[in-house]
Amino acid sequence: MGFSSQHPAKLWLTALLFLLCILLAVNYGELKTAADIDWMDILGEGSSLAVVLAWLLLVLYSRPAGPVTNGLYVGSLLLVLSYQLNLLDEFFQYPDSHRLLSWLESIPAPVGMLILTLGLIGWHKEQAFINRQLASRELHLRHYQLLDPLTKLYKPEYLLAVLKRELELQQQHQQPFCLALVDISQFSRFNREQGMAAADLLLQQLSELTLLQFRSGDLVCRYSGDKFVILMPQSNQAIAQSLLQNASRELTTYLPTQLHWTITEITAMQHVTQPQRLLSQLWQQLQRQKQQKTLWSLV
Amino acid sequence: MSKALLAFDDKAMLLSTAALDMILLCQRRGFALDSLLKGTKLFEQDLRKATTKISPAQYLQLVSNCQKALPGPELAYLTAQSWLHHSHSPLLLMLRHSANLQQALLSFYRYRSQLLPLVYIRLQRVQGQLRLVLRPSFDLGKQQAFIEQLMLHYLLGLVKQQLGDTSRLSISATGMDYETSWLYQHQWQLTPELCLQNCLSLPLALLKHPFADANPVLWQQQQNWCLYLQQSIPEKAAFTEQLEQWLFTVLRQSPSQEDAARHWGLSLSSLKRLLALQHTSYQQLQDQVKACAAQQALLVQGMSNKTLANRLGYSDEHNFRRAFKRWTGLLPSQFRS
Repeated sequence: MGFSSQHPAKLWLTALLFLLCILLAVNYGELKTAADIDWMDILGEGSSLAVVLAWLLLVLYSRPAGPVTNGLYVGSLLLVLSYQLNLLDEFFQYPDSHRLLSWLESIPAPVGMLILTLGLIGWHKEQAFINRQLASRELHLRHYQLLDPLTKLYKPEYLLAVLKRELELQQQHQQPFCLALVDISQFSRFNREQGMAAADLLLQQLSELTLLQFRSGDLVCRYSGDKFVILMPQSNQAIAQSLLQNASRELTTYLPTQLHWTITEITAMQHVTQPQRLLSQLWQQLQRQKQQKTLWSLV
Repeated sequence: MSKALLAFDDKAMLLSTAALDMILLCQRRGFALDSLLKGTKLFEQDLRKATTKISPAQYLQLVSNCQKALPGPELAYLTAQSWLHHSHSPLLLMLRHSANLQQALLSFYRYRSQLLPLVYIRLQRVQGQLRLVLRPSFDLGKQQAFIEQLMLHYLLGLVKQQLGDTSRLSISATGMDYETSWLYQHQWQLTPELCLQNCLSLPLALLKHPFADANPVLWQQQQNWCLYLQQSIPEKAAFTEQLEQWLFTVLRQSPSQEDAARHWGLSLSSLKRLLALQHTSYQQLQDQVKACAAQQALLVQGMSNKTLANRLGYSDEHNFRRAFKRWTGLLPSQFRS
């Protein structure tokens, strides 16, 4: 989504005020001679203007509408106007009788800074809230490039990084953790009968619902296609199994699907060093299990 | 010339079959349509029309945009999956309802301009195995890997969908990163081998296994639709593809550039210009054709360098050894082992 489609009015207002300032300066001021112009000042003030203008555009580009965006926008707009007039007075000489332009130059800057700071405080609060919302999706690490674009869950690379950390931590606290590989039963048939758009929607709904079924410390990742991996720290096989049974029961009531899963418990005694191998073991177990047509298995 | 020429900016591909699914699946993954259509001169309305046609150049731009949105090998796999579940492309339905793989491959060969005329499949028989070698018809640039992967995933998917498993198939690829080979291992339980061309090998016996969805009535119906569609999307092939096909047939004579120009009824400069448009040269094409043929021959055991040199039109085996090293970086003996 480009900023022209998200905040068209804000963009127009910025352009309008920008032009208005130039017209005001041209109207009231007289152009300085080349000898009077200090190019070092222009360089300094011009670059500050460019930077605040970039802030403003970035805010409009990256943020959805809302009070925090409005605060950040108004704050940076006032700064832009103030810095712009500051730059313009390097080119124009104003008569002493006109105080308007010098007020316009000096008053908006501190006000803009204040509003921008308030906006940043709002942003900080919003971020804290989003962090809580994200807690079920991520564990200790944030890496946006490793997000699966469809389900917004993390990809297996992320899981490996978390798994490595979990294995290291286990050497200290000695508590077992569980890893489950979950697979949707007859997904390719669903895909064929309902089409790919419906299958994508199913994956999205399934991932949202799965997130609700697990505890805040657990991590749900999309492994590949219709397979998900769930990491359950500080839990043994019995806890993991009851969590998965619950989740499966809940999901089958809402979605036209059934789950297969396989769980492995990792204890400090096992001295696992290669997380990759753990996952491929789980994978093979799930393949075997699908051939035997059983719903779940424990390794 | 045997077939009409397909030019780079010829609107000869159906958007709804070739690219629509790829765009929609990127869109479902949260990418804006305007960034996916950027630089293609296509608009949202064009996507809704079943008859919108695009040129190879537009298709490559679409692929490039979609790959920017979804980098990595998954896009090719997902697009192939959407082809497998396509419910309104006559050719894709025809392939699904074929009696067996042989009929499916023949149908694909005949009507491939209705799907993706940017690669062609060269069939090679090697010791009870059929090798389907993928060759680009155009200079596909950075998108070549995607398009070839897409075809491989589609063929593998078709075998899996209709014959149940892919364990008797094998895959060779020119070069594969970790993510791509991971995808092959997990989705198809296959480990790709390194090779000079992207190709799929299958036992000849598999060609006759009946398809799960085989249905002669539906197949005939879809073929009628394909014939009807052929009026608006005539069968065309790119010049480099046609030249390559000819070079394969006259391998032993090793024709010069002048011979080729004479065969195609072109002046030497026209031939050079046509090839330059595709960012290639006659020598380059001939080398590729010879490398492809040499590789097939080397896979058949017992063929000596001398016989091979003779087959490929080299005066002696030393010249052949040197040329082989130039194409592949390996000597024939190293390649055999």
